[in-house]
Amino acid sequence: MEQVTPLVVPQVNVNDDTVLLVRWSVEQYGQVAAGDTVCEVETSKASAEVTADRGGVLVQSAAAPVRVRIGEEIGAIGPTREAAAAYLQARAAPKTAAADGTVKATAKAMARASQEGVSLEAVARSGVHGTIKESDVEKFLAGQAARAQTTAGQARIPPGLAKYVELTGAVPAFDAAVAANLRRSTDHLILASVDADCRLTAAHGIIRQALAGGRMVSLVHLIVAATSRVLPRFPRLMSFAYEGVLYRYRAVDVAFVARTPDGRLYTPVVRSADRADLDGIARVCQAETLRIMRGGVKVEELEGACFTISHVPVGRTTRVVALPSFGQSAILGVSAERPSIELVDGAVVERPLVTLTLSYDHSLCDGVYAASFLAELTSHLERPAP
Amino acid sequence: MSTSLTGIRRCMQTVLHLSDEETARIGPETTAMLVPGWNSLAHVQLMLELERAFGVTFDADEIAALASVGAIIAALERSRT
Repeated sequence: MEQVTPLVVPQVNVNDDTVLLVRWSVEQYGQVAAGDTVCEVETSKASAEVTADRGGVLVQSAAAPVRVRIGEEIGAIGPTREAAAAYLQARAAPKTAAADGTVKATAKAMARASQEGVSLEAVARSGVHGTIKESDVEKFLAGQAARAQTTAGQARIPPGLAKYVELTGAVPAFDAAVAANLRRSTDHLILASVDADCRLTAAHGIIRQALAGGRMVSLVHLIVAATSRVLPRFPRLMSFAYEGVLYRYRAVDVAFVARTPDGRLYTPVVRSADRADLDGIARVCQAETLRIMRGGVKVEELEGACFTISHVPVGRTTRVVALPSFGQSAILGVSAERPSIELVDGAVVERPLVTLTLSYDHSLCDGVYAASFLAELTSHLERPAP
Repeated sequence: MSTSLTGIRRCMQTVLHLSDEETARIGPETTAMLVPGWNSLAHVQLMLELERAFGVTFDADEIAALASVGAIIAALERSRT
């Protein structure tokens, strides 16, 4: 076999067993030279670039973003695409045979591992024999948390602060991953925001009609529907800038924030929302939320949205300034509902309303552009097309 | 049917924090519009509670159409056949 060099995940921090493969810098089957950056990896504390040890054709065996083990082969560089691919296939085959086919796990174990973003192979390598059970995944996670706690304990904070605080453990891996995503995002954009109040009289009528008919439709479903109709006229809000290059999403895939009872934030995606009717959008939103609550949603299923909606219907929240996810330039925050008093034909009328807050990248669009989007969106919601 | 309705009432009372009076009024004709707190998030939690209580798994794509007690009863009966 011609000489092929595997691409191995480097150790970024001493105490980390895994890192996040953030992105590939070179496309699949792309040509690289020795020393070229081929991908970026990241832990909660640091990020690093992985460089090519040799020149040749890169064949990727992992799709970014994904959590990968230290030392894991995520691709190979060979003199030809075929040579590198053959190498990876040959490496994969013995592993499968040695593991007697595949790693076996119970449904609960798979769901738990998926929920935490850990690979079942990593759990198996931690010393589990036979079928992996949910308890094995829990033990593996506890081990990870203990190692992280040790790291946190070793971390130094200013002595003046230390006397006022106590160590309560490491930041949970899931929270750290969400924070890393938002940190990467905010590093790349100039965040600005604009608000608009939106009357809900018409929206409430539509929701009441649906509920009376036994169909679950909510304000978020209506906003996803309205947003998907308006967004195509505001392409800059479906775009993002990265390292001086502008990218635009091909499809109107709209995400919404779903919060689990234990406080985890997920962003399920309504694919091609502009082609779906309200019932279709409601069906997808409900189905995706149920799947998240059950556990077992894969990372790649939550990727690819051009825009996100975050509804925080808590108490008297009047304004929600949300942060766009990495790879997006805008996000819509939706406040709690509140009554407003208006004078209509000389009569005082009480109407429910919410405040819509668009957080956007000012390097891509200005306040007028953002406010125009909100104006069209509120118009859609206040006077929906029949 | 009556066993299902009793179980559904129990699940709804748990998830939606209904009073005994509100729970007793629940019948096959009850829709989400008539029950306080039966919104989209509570709906998903209700589906999970029903799955746990009845040992069934709903088709995720169908749950948006289960915002009435009658539809829930029908879905539970379908899942048993």
